[in-house]
Amino acid sequence: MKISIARMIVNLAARGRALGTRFAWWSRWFPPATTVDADRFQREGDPYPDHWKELPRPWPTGHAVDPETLKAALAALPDPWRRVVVLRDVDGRSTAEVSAATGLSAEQQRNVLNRARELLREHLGRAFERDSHRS
Amino acid sequence: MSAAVAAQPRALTRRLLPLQIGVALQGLILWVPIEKLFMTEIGFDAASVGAMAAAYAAVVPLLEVPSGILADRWSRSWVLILACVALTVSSLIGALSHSVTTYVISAMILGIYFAFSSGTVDSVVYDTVVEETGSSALYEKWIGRTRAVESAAFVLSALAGGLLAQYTSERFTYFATVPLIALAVIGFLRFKEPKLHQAAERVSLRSHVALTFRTMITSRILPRVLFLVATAGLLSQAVFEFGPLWLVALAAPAVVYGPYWATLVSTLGIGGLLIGKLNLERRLLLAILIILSLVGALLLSWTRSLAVIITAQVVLALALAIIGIHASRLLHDAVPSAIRAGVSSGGGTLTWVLFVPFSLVFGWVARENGVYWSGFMLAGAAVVVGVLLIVSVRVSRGVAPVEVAATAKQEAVKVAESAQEIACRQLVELVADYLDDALSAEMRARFEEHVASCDGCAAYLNQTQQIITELRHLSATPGSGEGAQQTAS
Repeated sequence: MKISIARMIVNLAARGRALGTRFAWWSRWFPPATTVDADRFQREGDPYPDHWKELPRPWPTGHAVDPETLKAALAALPDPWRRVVVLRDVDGRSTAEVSAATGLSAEQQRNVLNRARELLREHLGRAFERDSHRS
Repeated sequence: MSAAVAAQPRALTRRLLPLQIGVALQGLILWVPIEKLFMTEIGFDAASVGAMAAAYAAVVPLLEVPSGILADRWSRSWVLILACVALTVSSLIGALSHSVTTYVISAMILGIYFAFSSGTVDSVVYDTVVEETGSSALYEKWIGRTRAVESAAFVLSALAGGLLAQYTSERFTYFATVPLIALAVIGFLRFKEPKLHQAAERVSLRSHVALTFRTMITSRILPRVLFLVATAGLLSQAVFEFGPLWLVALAAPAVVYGPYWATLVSTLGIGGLLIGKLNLERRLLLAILIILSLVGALLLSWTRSLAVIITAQVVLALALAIIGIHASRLLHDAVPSAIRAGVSSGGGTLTWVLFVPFSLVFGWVARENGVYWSGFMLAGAAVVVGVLLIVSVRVSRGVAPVEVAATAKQEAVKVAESAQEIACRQLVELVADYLDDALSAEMRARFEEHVASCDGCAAYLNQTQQIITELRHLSATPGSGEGAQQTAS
């Protein structure tokens, strides 16, 4: 969770001050939040824009995902995301059932699942990395 | 599909309620409409009003960095609470002020409030929307609602503050504000802050700066539009900051200030509503706007009639609200999405930087020659805005606007459709849709085609599927499934 100084400065630049008067101001515009960090892809001007800068590391074959690690990753998700992942992926409920339970449309559920699974994937990837360093 | 996107989960509405209550209470700053009246009473003249505005405007950009660091590393709810505390302290010091010095201190503390709260509400709303619905599709709707609540609070407090000052005193109006603002803290305390931090702000320093710089030097339109945004902001700020000085000069009764300020503040909201209905591509409309703002500004120097002065200020404020929104759209369209936020931040900072000398000179001219003379500075600024508006619109006509997608997935689909293929960056946005079989047949074929030929994306998809399998196994593990279900309910 170490945030570099550079990242902090960028966040400040990207924060953007909305225009306005002393008491009222316009709303800020944000670039749409991406599922995977935009830094992981090549930019315009690179040889293959929008392609992986560095391919996702393959996980060690034959190693099962440790349930405890997965549970820890699940616990680190924001509450609303964990709720959807547990209902859909752990309990295996249908989209319609989850819609009834949470009020989220099918589309919204997919958006949550896509991001939440990416966070889980990253978490597990880091865990595999740590294991390989240890052994 | 659009109906599905528009669904409003109850949890989101419930979660944003305390934030909106906090924003509403914080908007009830009763003393704003009669501020200049009170300042004159405790010994301010036009020059010291200008100096106060400059001191305050200088504080805001200085605090941008610390407020950002606090919000990133500590908590955004607490930054909002700090802002609220600053507003309370500022109102209290204002209420106790009997001299120019203490009031300038209170104005600088108000700068803390502004720097801490501006932008923080927006980013907190953004992350809450993403956390509750998985995408930013509903952000515009919710920030719009929050702003509407805030505007209503401004109008209400302007009317109430004017009445209160009329029937009690200006000083009492300052005191009466304190408990209202302090109550807003409760709203912010009860708000459950999103765990997701800066979901919107993932950019790397080098590429960001390089791209910004490259766009700045290669773009013909960007510098002009940036200046347009800044001067329109400057002029609008000047009307709100110095407009009441005309009422003071004409010795308007206190009862006028409330409705006057309410009308002035409401132009911000009305401008936002009107911009949706007006087609600013039309030259005639642009010409009318420019002429209206110029005539409005000139009338402030010519007439001594209170009714005409107020009307002129309202017309000027409204024209500037429309021009301001239009200018920020031009800015928006002129730059690629990756640097949009940074560039618009530059526009905002430029406004503050220009405002410091402007208000010093304005105050000095107003003291030496009367506020009517400094009114020509507004007219001068209006001419600059008009010229910049004409040149930027002319140049921007040849530039196709960059279409803006509300969410990364919409953007991915759009890019994939126009390029006839899916790149890795777009593919990762579509994985859940693929697994749920929600992609169009054509998109599905492209998705599979890409995965078959790309090791990176094949690994990505494979790992995601592996996780889904393992998650399903969790429920079979005795004990854990129930625990998970408990978390779910």
